[in-house]
Amino acid sequence: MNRREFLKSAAAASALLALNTGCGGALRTKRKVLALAFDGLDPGLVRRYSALGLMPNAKRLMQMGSLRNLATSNPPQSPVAWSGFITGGGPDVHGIFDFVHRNPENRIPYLSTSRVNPPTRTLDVGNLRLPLSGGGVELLRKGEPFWRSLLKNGIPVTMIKLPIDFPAPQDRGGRFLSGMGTPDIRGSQGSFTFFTDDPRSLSDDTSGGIIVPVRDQGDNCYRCRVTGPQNSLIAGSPVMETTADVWADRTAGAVRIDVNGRSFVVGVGQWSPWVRFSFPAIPGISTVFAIGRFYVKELSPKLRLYLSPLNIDPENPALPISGPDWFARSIAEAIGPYYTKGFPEDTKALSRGIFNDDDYFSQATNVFDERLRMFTHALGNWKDGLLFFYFSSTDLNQHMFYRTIDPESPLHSSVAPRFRNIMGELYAKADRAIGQAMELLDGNTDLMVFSDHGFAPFNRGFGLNSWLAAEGYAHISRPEDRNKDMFACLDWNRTSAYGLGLNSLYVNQAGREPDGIVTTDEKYPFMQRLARDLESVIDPLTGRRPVEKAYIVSDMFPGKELPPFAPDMIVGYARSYRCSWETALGAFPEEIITDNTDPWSGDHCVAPMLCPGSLITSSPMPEGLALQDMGAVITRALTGDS
Amino acid sequence: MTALLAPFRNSPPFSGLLAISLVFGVIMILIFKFTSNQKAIGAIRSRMGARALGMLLHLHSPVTVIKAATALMVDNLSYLWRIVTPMLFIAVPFILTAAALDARYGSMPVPRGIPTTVTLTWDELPAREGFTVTGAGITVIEPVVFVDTLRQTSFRVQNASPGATVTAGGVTLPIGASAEGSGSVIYRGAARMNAAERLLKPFLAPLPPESPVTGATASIPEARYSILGGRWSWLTVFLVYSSLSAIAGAAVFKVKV
Amino acid sequence: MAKLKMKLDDGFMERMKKVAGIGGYSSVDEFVIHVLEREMEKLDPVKGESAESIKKKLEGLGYIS
Repeated sequence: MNRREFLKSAAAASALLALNTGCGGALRTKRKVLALAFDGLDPGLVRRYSALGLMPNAKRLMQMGSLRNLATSNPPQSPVAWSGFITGGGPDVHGIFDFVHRNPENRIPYLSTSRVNPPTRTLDVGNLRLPLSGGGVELLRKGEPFWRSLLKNGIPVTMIKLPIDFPAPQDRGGRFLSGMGTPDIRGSQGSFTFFTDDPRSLSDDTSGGIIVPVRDQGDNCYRCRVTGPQNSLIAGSPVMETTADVWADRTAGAVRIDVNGRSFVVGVGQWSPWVRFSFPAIPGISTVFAIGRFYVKELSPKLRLYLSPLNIDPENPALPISGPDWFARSIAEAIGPYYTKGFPEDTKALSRGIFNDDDYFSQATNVFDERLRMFTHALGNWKDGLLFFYFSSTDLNQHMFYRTIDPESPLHSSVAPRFRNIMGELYAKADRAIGQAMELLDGNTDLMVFSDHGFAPFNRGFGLNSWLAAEGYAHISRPEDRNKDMFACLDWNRTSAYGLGLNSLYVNQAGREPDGIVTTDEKYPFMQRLARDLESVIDPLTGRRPVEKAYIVSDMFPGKELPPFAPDMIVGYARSYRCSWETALGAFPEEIITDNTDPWSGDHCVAPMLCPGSLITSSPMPEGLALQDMGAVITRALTGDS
Repeated sequence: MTALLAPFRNSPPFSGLLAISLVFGVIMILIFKFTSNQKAIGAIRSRMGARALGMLLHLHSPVTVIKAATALMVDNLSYLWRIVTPMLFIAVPFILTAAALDARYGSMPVPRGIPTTVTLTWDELPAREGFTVTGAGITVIEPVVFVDTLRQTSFRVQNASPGATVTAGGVTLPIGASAEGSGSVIYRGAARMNAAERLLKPFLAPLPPESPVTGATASIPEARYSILGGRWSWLTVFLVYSSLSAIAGAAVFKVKV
Repeated sequence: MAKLKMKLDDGFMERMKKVAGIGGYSSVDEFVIHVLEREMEKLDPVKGESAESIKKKLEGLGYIS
């Protein structure tokens, strides 16, 4: 069966299922599908490591069925790609165009996947502010998830760590645990705390976390204030805090950390178990719980103590991380507390030098091992229908360790010998999970291993905004503010385009943006010229083109009315390139193309054809499938006999 | 208590807790019956009912309502006085039973694979040199942290078997479950205690008065029980089920409460 | 240009003059305006969320510095 016929039959299966919903009957199916998702699993690297014998299970699986490149979304960012998987459509359907969107009315960026809405009505009693109506967390992804018709037809669905489903769906009969997009307890995508009495560690850089100065009280005790969420039940929403007393024993090379009456001994270079923090919002009535893990980086001569971003406690979730509510708790009861945050590995701590490679790797190992325990638990409880299970470690660790396999990386030569094979070890670990899944294969079970995109090196950062300014598309009126975020240096009355997010470019459109100057009539020819200019940029250092292709969004979705927050162009970078760090939040540094010296050395925000995902299946699949077809493919596999 | 829970040794912990709660509720209601003046309580309750009805019937007459409310308050005080004696009789078994249940169902056993920190408080902090910690039926994880200010030593243990003991600086303490099966005492620490304290704190292993250790604690996780989608402490489970059982018992044995 | 009158403790004023001098400010006024601007950048309620708080929420993504 070729791709076209295959997709037709998959679409027909989905349509029939949807029709059956109307009749209210349940399908009887013995078929089972185990969908194993590895974020960022690259088909080229799968082939390489399979050939080297590091992925024997994947090799066996592709011999049973097939290994295919799986077309990714444009842009190939996980929120866009996984939203496509969930809804079977593109950004025009699900409304996610980038990790970051912007409000055209004020150009302020926001996370594209979910937002917290304050209550619309409150009852103020003294200092207390009690919510009466409205408020809560809102999922910004639109469109109908493919699993809904499965559930309506009586086919059980379990989706564990599914990205872009926070707050978790509450569809009856399904079990959902939120993945990527789930914030930490402070509402950010991850903010560590680093306690130290070492003045060399103190800096104004607050990226990714906070450094808290502490001092020895005179008896080797450090009183560390741990910051929790804002207390929305009190007027002014003050930040809640609790205390951790850290007793340092430098002779033993360990500390004792006392939190909420419980003690934890942790040695230098070791991680504490999960520590539960409680933040009373209204004492005795409402308490917010969170969990975190300490890491003692150094004790002598100075204390350097890392505390992970505070995760939502799965046993007492403050926000809806699972559907039904008890699902997150039942997993915690089986495997203990676990990372609930969407991005568990603290890549920022490594980027900022709080971690070195060893520290980061020890955390990454904890995360992957914990997820494997969750996977084993999920397999043990899976009876029928669809089980989707997602691993984030393949993505985040490739981001941080791509420099180990790419000789062109500015950091390649400084990689310690023990990390030279780390990428192979990562893929081998993923392969062990595939092997575990394969043990469940029988005549009625399909195994589908897939990823949302592949990977590419990120060696050079393209300062999209700086280039726009250099080419006259943006006008800088305050050069002293070039390095400030949020377009602080710009004169909007003389700016026709601006970059924000990882692949998004916006036209400063009259009538849409304040001080917009490009009229609706001028817009399309303007974008054509801009696209040509972008595609003809040459990196003077390498002689290569940083931009593979600039896509005009209205051309991608002809005839569709797109939301006002949608970008006007998507910049598809060439391999080795990505937007510079400064571009993402609207800064305009002097240099346009610079070496990327951040350990974050791999990326996938390139043109989509340059980083397809992987699809390894127990049944042969045709070439040319895309991630957004996978919902229909799964539906077809589940209902094939019906 | 151990004998009472013997039939539930191989059942999930919740079943033993549930059984004791149900039995306790019935016993308490019977104690209430035989230690209270049932006739007087019955009369007061009838009177209180009449007063409340009177208030409802004379809502149009504030004077009558106030009079009835005042009388109702007096009746309430009288009722409270009547139940003081039975409550005192109930209090003793309640406290002892609650302590015994807390020791058995308040904590999880030492979790496997997750280090649990044990802290010993000393009369005088022992010298670091030569201070050793060994475990029997439990794995001890070095190092030992000395906290001079608090005269404490702390270390980690994991993978405890029932009946495990730790010997630190020559002092031996039981840690975690005292025996196999649910319903056995789980030691969360140790203390020097007199006989009354031993009854009230059975979750602590007794230390002899001459012990150089004044007390010990182990950061063992608190136990929670899943009922109706919620996670509840043993005390909530106990109070809810013993109350339900007491209400049922009151109906069966015609007890006026 | 709008004017703002403030009453300050003498000791505090002296200290502020000293700090402004150490910091290289040409006048106390310049120092005060700079400090106020910096704080407003962080807390400006007109913008809804401050730029700093928006950045904080996004940067944990790893993709953003």
